[in-house]
Amino acid sequence: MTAEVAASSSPVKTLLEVRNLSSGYGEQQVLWDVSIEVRQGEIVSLIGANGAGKTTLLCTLSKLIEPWGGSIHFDGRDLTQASSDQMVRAGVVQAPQGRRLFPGLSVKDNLLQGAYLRQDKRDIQSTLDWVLEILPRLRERFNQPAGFLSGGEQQMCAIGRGLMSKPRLLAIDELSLGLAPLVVDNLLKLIIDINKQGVTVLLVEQDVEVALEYASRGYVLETGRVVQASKASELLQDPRIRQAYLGL
Amino acid sequence: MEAAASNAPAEVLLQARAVTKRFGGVAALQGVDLDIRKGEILGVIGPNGAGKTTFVNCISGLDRPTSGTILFKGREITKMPSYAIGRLGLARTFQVVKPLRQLNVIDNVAIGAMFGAGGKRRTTGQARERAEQVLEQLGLKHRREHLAADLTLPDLKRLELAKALAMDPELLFLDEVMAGLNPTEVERAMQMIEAINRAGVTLFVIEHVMKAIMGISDRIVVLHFGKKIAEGDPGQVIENPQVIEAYLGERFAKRAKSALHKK
Repeated sequence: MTAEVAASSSPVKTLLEVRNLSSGYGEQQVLWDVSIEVRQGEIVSLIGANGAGKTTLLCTLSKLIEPWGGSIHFDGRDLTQASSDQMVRAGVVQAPQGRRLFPGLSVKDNLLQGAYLRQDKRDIQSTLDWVLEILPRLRERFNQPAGFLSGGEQQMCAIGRGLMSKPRLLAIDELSLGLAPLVVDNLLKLIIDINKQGVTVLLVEQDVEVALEYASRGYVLETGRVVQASKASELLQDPRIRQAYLGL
Repeated sequence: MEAAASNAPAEVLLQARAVTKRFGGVAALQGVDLDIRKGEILGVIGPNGAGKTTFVNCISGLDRPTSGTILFKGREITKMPSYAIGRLGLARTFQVVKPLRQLNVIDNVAIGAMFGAGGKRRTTGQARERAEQVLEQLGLKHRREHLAADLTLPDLKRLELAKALAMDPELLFLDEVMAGLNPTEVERAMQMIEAINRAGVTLFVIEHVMKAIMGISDRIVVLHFGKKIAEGDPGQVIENPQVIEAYLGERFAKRAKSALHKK
């Protein structure tokens, strides 16, 4: 109780601050003037139609795509010009859409890829133990090629790989894609659990109802621009959001 | 006696009996019996890894069942190669989309039209014509010249459907064509699938989007660890405690029920 009170009364630190970001592919601009912030300990949802720029935003944060303009600060440092590996080192890690595992490598080796950049080699085993504890299914599949996993297990492996980097901010693109309802429910509980253990989460999820229920705040992207930023509970009640994204 | 005919069970288009598939020591399918009735939309649900896609692979000739038989229109297809099964009037989509990435949309679909039930009779020109019709039907016409590699996910899913539909199937297997679509896009996809069914195509639909599967299915089959654990109309299936425990979870069971009531 005391810890909670202390946490809520202390000023919340901004972990990720994106200002006026633009980017795109080749000649095609996808993001215009996007500004978002994610505070330490939050779960923030990005919602929007397919093609709105959600994945592009995550990929720009991971520097898989170069920013064209604007700035990206993480924990007070200007990382606008940082490379992908520098972003990961800083603690910005992505679980990409479609999981993107190495199908021929074992679950173990896929997980260890996530620790590739870590300097604290000795602690990797304890992170691995932690990952296998929260994702016990991966333990059962530990030595099997990732290509043999079911969709849900692959998503677990992708999240596990992300966790192996010891992320401070984990960006998850399309958590529920192709997954059974019960698995989605379990993954959501997992996200809450990871979040409680100190990992800040930026979540892209098509199931907007689910995405907003678990998030503290949400940003709505439309054709590459942020058109709304509010508390998740307010977005859930917003008639326009309900009609456009919940089909209600 | 005459009257009895209308009460008789609908004609069975595909009959799978005791279909088992093992991968090494893992039994992906264990003695699955399943009928697909002519004209229906059969929804198939089950946890990831339950064997849904493996079942489709076995029927479409991509995988050989370890044992069991599959009859399509009364004819055994258990050991037939895929192309021959396609010629008989069976088509499928792939969960992980498989476009020919370096070809444009129209050519991707035209290739579908050259295989499948209608393919043998078609020239390339006629295949393109058929492809044009399908693109029109699925609202993909504005993408006809785009390279498949450049499409967004919803368009890739639609292309997957277009390729299969261009094969003029009597029985079409849809493997998670709605994954990754938002609720509004799901609504549109449901209408598209219902229209395909009304045009006379029997459908076997694998989907995790409960709103969709409850909304469009005439019957639902539930697979779990390679076995059929439930079968019935959507209302029965979502009340089944085993299905709730293995697949839906309480939270989504509630949601599935409300989707059904809106129907």
